[in-house]
Amino acid sequence: MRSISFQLRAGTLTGIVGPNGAGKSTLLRSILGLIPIDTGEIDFFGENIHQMRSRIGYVPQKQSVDWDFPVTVLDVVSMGRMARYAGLRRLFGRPDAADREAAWHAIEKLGLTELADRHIRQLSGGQQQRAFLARALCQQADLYLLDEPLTGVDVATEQTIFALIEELNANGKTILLVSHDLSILDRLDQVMLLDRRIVAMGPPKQTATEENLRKTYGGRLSLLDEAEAELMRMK
Amino acid sequence: MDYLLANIDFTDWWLRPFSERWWQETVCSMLVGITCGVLGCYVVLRQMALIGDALSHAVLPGVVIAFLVTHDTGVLGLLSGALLAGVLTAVLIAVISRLSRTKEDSSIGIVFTTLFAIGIILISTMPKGVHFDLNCFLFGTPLGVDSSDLLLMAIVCPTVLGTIVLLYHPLRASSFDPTVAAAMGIPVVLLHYLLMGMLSATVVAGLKTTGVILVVSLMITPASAAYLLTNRLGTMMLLAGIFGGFCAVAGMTLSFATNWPSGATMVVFAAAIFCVVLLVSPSQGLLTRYLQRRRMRRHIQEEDILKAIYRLVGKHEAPGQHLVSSEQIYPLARVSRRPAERIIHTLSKEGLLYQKAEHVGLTDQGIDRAIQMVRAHRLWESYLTEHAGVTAEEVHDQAEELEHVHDLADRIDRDLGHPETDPHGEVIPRPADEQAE
Repeated sequence: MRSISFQLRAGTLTGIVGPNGAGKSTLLRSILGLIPIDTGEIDFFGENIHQMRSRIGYVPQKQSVDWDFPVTVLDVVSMGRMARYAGLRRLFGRPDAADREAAWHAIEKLGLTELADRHIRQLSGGQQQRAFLARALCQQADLYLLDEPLTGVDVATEQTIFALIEELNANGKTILLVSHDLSILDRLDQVMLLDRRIVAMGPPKQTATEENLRKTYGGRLSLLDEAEAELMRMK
Repeated sequence: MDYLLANIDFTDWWLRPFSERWWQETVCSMLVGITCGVLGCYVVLRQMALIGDALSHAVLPGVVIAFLVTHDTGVLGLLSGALLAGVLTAVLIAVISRLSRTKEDSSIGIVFTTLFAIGIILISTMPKGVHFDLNCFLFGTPLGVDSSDLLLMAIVCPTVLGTIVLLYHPLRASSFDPTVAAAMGIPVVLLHYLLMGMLSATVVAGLKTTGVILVVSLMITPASAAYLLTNRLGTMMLLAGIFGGFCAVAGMTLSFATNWPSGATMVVFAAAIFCVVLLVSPSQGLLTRYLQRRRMRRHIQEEDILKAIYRLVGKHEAPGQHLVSSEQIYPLARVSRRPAERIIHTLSKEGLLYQKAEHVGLTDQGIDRAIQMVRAHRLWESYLTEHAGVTAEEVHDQAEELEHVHDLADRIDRDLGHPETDPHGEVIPRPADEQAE
């Protein structure tokens, strides 16, 4: 990926849309500092991202964990609170009363109260996704990065997720949502069309034009592709 | 005969297990067993069994170098040698599999065999007069356990256990979902190397009792058994610790009584526990699940037979009036003769039907059950066509399975607003008390 540069306004919902392999998840991961970036920097309210980790909530793609791991829904959700621990507490900290309350609050909000004691394997796909959202939610972050939260979930979960996003936005939280699906366009404040570079970014109506979408989904820039393949060979 | 008796010393075999030596070694190997069990939970959950095996072998060069430097099997030397070798193994494996296309299991295989080979060469180049017992390293020699080994166990085990308890939350979070844990700022990589270090230290601690080849078993087997029993990490660690400790004590005691090698005896105990759990674990056991399936199949066959009789008898006959020949029932209920005969026998003992010569009929109780079934079947048919979009032609076969879940029938009835008929236009029967209203 190259020349990615953008800003997010607080309290808005931005969608990253693009074909498979466009680098959507990679972009989220590099924002989180999970993947080293070659050049450039990421600012968060003017501060370096690493000091701001606790203020970013991340919901990865659903299939990325071992669903046989012996944890309950409550356990998973409570893990979100660990992001708030600082310094040595990050290693030795134990959940206190405030943590427990926040976890239960998030569980309630996502309609998982009756399932809190269940093993995560015993949930449906949509419920599993909601448990992950609850984990990010109880972190009480300011920026949420959601990677394909709507893939493989039922209609009820989809509605819950959108209601939650609206509420978060209303409370001034910023959301960056990845999707390979264009049907969410009209819900967004801002859309980024991504195909290893930003094809276009702006309000959905003006940005998601036929021409831009063709540029995003209709094949790559062939010269750049060849050049990059050449570079890979030389390395 | 004389020869055999002479070999087995009957005089004190039952006293041997309670000698002072037994106490010392049992307490220490119990500590090792508990530590292996608890630490093993992470080995099992993080799918590091192969790495555990690799680490246990790869500590050899570390131990040998420590031995060469200190000319002694001193506690500190051994421990630091093993820790260095362990962490080096972990780093090498990570580097090779990350920087090349070599898969992780191959990198593990390459690294640990290489380090082990270096260890063997080092042993062979030792100056004359210095004796390093490779056999002891591989298989353990409990009789060679001296006070410095006991000291090593007494230092390593509580430290490892304490660390695991203290770091419970970050270890759990980073094992369950390393990506998100890293995003949260939990030092995932550091914790990984810490686990590797603890593994190597525990291997060295258990070296004399079990040897490196078998120590992996004490890590993986008790933890795997615990994994089949619970869905809670805390409970899993507790159980694994208990299993590990028990194996160590039982193995050590038996080996004292029989003179069998203690490590191997412990491993056999661990395997026995695992086998029992594998068979009879309430949720995961192979035998448990087989019995559940058989009970369910039996239940379905019983109900199919009841329904078949009900349909043959016709609902207008007064109970006890009409009898049907058994021959007619089998094809209709789709149950073959032998099991059907057994089932008819049990059902009549339960008072649901009665037998007269080759004929059977339903009792009042039997008719109630059959009506319940028909009701569940037709309610499911309505539910499936209405909510699951199943067509009226397909719905019968699916309802044929679901009707056996008749506990849910009343809820379906409520959800559907008490329908009168099913999609085929057949009347849905109501329970007798409701009909009376």
